[in-house]
Formats: sequence, structure tokens, C-alpha cells
Amino acid sequence: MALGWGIISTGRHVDGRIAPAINAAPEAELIGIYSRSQERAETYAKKHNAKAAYDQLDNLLNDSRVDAVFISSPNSLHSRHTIQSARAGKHVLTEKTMATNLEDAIHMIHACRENDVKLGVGFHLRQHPFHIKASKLIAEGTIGPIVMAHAQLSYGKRGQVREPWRSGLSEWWTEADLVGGAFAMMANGVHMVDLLRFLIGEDVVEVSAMTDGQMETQPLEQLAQLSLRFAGGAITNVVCSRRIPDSRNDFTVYGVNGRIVGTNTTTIIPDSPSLLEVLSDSGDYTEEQGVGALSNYIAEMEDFRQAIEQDREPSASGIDGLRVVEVTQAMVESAWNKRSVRIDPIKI
Amino acid sequence: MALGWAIISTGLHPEHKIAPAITAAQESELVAVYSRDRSRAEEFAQRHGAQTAYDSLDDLLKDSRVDAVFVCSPNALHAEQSMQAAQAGKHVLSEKPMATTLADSVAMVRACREAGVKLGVGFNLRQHPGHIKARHLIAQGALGRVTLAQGQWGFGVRGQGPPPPRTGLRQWWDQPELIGDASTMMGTGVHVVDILRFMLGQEVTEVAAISDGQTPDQPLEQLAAISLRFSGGTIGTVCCGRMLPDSKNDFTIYGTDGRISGRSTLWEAQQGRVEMVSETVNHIEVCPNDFLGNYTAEIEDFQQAIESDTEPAATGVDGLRVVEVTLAMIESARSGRTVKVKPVEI
Repeated sequence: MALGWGIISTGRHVDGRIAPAINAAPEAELIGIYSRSQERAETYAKKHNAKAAYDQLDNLLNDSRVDAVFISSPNSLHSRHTIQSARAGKHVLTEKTMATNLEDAIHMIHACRENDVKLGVGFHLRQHPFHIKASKLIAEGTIGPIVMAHAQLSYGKRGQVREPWRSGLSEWWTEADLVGGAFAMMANGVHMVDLLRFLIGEDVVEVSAMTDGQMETQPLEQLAQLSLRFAGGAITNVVCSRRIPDSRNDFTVYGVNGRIVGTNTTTIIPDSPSLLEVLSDSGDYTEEQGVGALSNYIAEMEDFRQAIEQDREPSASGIDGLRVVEVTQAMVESAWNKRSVRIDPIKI
Repeated sequence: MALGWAIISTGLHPEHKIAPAITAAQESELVAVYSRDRSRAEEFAQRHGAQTAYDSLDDLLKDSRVDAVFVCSPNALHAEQSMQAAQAGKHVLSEKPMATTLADSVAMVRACREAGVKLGVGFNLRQHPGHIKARHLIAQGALGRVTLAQGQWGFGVRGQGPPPPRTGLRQWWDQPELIGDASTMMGTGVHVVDILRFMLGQEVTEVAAISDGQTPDQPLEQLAAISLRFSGGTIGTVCCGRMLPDSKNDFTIYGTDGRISGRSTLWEAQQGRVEMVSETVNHIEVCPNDFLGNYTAEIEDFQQAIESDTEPAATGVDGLRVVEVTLAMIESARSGRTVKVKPVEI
């Protein structure tokens, strides 16, 4: 039976990707949309063929046709919305970043466990076929123990020194409390941190960040360079920015026996085909594949449905979300205090 | 008249690169070579057609045919030998890193100034035509505001993991006091730091390094990632390692109007390609592989500097700036702190 979805919030992300992805996914049905504004909810519901529009979250959560919610509200509201949904017995797929502080992230995991609902986090890059392939090859030891890796996701507009600060309903992105103390990191960097965790199959134990923000005159950064040490000793770099119009959104993983490179795989807006290159003692090969603008999102919806059906964890679980929140907090702390920050993963 | 060169030390670097480059360079002559060991000096001199072999540095420096010395000894010895050469009135081209301490670097710059001789540092990547092109385009503003600069130089042997300790005469590479408390950062990292400085035309003001060494158990690292903040606001990254058999030794510089990227240009041989993508310039420059290219050009540049009384491509002050950054890298890797670089006024 098709999974009934409710969407919480009506921002650009929902409009451009999440609602269309739910509509395109097999065995998924868009039931309801919630916005603080009934009018916005109705406009979105009409545009995306949802059956109902709500301006009360309780009413969406009382809709018996809704099995799962996708939470796309401002970062700092994810926690409240998740807990409320879990208590109403709805499965929760929350947009990244899962939460803006550790306490919230932990409460989310507990609430979903206690109410026996699934909790997933919107790290849709885990769905890219080349990322899945690379992570398998790495796990199989094709390139040996991992020593170094890089991942970059950046955007920009030529001629624009800085992205103009967002206005209107997107303004929460410019408020440190609502966005979570970081900007490019929250928007793009968390995807790269999660991707490296996914590819390497380990957690981050130390973070060193250098940014153009995290200072009194500019609390939110538009460019961040992070060095991450992984549990197995790999040293990695993440770049995220809104000031790099010609960014190469690629990943590279180096092992002692070879390397794997993904070209144009880490982007959220695929504008040219992805390439995968593997060099190892088992042979070298390259592969090219076009990836549709919605592919990763559609696969994300389907993965979450299967997770419910098979009673397994979704591709990116609440714990994955929590680990990335830990790294994000460490990144903010490192950039402000100008020192590397060790992470002791919370046991939960 | 040809410039008379002497090489101090007979290691692999002079064997494969410096001596052949001096021989290949226009208007230069390999006059003499020095080693502590007379037979090593003689064998080296014979192989490379040097006229004289010395086991006393004093004697070499008294040889009137020698105009300039190329110092290739272990890092910690560069300073003393350079100053001795300067005092004997010889021009000095020192291999990188220039020195292992700030005091030594400053003393080298002063000694060469006082003696009225040129001081250059072996940052031969400055001779790569692609790097020179990138520097010009950036200086012209083709990239707009430069936001990010990345460079990597790693190498390794597949299946090996951490490299085995070096033996024989190369053991100094594994001795913290001789190499200067860092391994891969000293070996290739300093090259990447300098070439980013060169292409950006900016100085490093802040350094954050993460490595697999700089601890009591493992004083020397085999792997490092270094974040740099430059004086113009650009953020940079330098990666280096000796466990990276398939390292992409590339650089990429991003600006608000485009990017310049070099493929495989950060290497011993002059090689690779440089690509520029922007509103105004869209250009690919392919550089045919020339193993000695950067070294020969370095020797000729230094001769030119002497002849025209100008500064060489990489000056003693460039060397000093990179030593400042390197010491900050080591301190940062040890302490976990981001370290501000305070340039010595000289």
C-alpha cells in the first residue's frame, strides 16, 4: 500500500524537490501540507496535488491517511516538529540538519524510539548510485585502508562577492539561532560530512575549521574549510561555500592501494553527468551516468518507505543525523575558538 | 661568462636533479662538489663532470672558479653552510626548506645581504609555465575576488601504508632535529605553501594543521591537511602525504569570477595542464613532460638574477615566510590551536 506523506513547511526546498519527489516516487502519496498560513498551505497543496492543506500541525497529525511526515521547517524547529509527529504515531523524515543542538537531536531519537516510529534524516546524497558503489568498494577493501579524502559542495554566482542575505520567509537562514550558528556548513557542509562518513564507514573524531565567519562582525560564514580526522586515522577535507561559482563538486577518497573519485556527484543541482573513477590493483575503470534532478530525492522517499515496511533503519538514520550535529557543533566551536575540537560520540 | 657552480652534498636530489640541471642549463658550469666523504665527492664529480671534488667546505669556498653554491644538505645544516658560503663571497641557492628555525632563516638573509651575495630558495615550482600563467591571470583580476586555493602533493607505494624508515645517508629524514620536526610537510608541503603564495600574491596570516604525527609517540607525520588564511582573505588548503600512491597532485584556485586548476603540475617533473574558466579567459595550457624543466629554469633564473642584480624567483625572504608558516603548521598540529603567523620584519 502506498505510504501517505504529510509535509511540514512550504519553503523552496519543498516546492522544488520534496513534493515533486513524493509525487514521483513509487508507492507514495502526498496527503497533506502544513503551513502557518492556510493560504500558503492551500496554494502548495493545489500545486502539488496534496489532498489537504492545514494551518494547524495537530490537524495534519490527526489525519489518519498520513503515515509519515517530511519536516522541512527552519532547522531549529525540526526537533519540536519531530517530537510532536512521533507522539502522533507518524514516521519522521527530517530535513538536514537534524537539529541545531545536541539536546534536541537526542530528544528526537528518544521520542521516535519511544513511539516506535522510524526517524530518518535527509542526507539524500547517500542515494547517488556512485556514492553507493564507492561505499561498497571501500567497505570491500578495494583501495585498502583509507588515509585521506576530500568532499566539496559549493555554489555561487559569478561576479557576486557574497550571496545576498536571504529575506522574507527564507530569512531564518540569516539568524544564527534559527539556522544553528553556521550558514554554508548547515546548507552544504553537513551533506559533505555525512557523505564522507557514509563512504568511509566511520565516525569523525576531530574537527578543525577555518571560515570567513564565526566572528563578532560576521557570525555566519559563507565559506568554510574543515579538516576532519576519522576514527580509523583518515584525514579529510570538506569545503562548503556560497561564494564559489565554479566549484568542482566532487569527492576523492584515497586508500593505501588506490583511489576513488566522483566528479559532479556531490551537487544538489545536477547540471552535467556524474563520473566515477576507480584506480586500484583490481583494475582501473570509469563510469559515467546522468542523474536526474529529483533522482536522489525519489530514491530517498522509496528507501524510507522500505525502511518502514521492512522494519529496518533508513539509509540515513537519526543516529547519523546526531553524529553530523556533533560534527557541526564542533565546527562552529572550532571556528570561533580557533582550535581543533575532539568529538566523543554520544552513546545512545 | 658561464656561472661556476658548486654543489654542497651528494644526495639523491643533487644526483638526479640539481647536477644534471646545472649541466643542462645555459651559461653554467659545474665546477665542484662537496661531501664529508672524499670518495663520495669524487665519484659524484666524475659521474657529473665536475672539475673538482672536496671533502672540506672551506677548500671548496676558496675555489676561485666557484661563483655560486647550491646547498642540498640536510635541512638543519642549510643555515650554517649558506652563511659560510656568503662570507666567502659566493651566491647561495639553498634547497627548501631554507632552514629549520626562524633564527637561522633570519641569519641567512642577513648574512647574504651583508656579504652582497644573492640568496635564493629551491622553490622550483615557480618555474612551471602554468603556475606563472596562473599568477599573471590572478594578478590581472581574471578570477575576481579569490576565495579558495587548494593544493596537494602526495606520493606513496601501493600496499605499503606508512613508508619504512630511510636508511644510510638518508636517515636524517627520520631525525626530527635534522629534518626540522616535520616529514611530509617539509618534503612536499612547503612547496605547496610557497606555490599558493606565489600564485595568489598573498601572505599566509593564519594556519590550522591536522596530521598523523607531532605527538610524543610519533613526532614525524606521514599525512597532513593544513588550512591557511591569506592576507587578502582567501582560504587555502594544503594536503601532503607519503601514504598516497594515487595522489592527484593538483591545485585549484577559485574566485568570484571563475577558477584556475592545474592537473598534476605539483610534481618534480615539469608536466600537467592548467585550465582557466572565467567570464573573460577560457584557456587550457598543456605542458609537455620535462623531468628537469623546473630545475634547469631555476638555475638559469638564479644566474639571471646575479647578472642583472635582481632578486631570484624565490628569494631568501620567500624562504623565511615559508619557514614561518611551516613552524606554525608544526605548532598547530601539536597543540590543536590555530596559529597566527607574525611576519618577521627584515
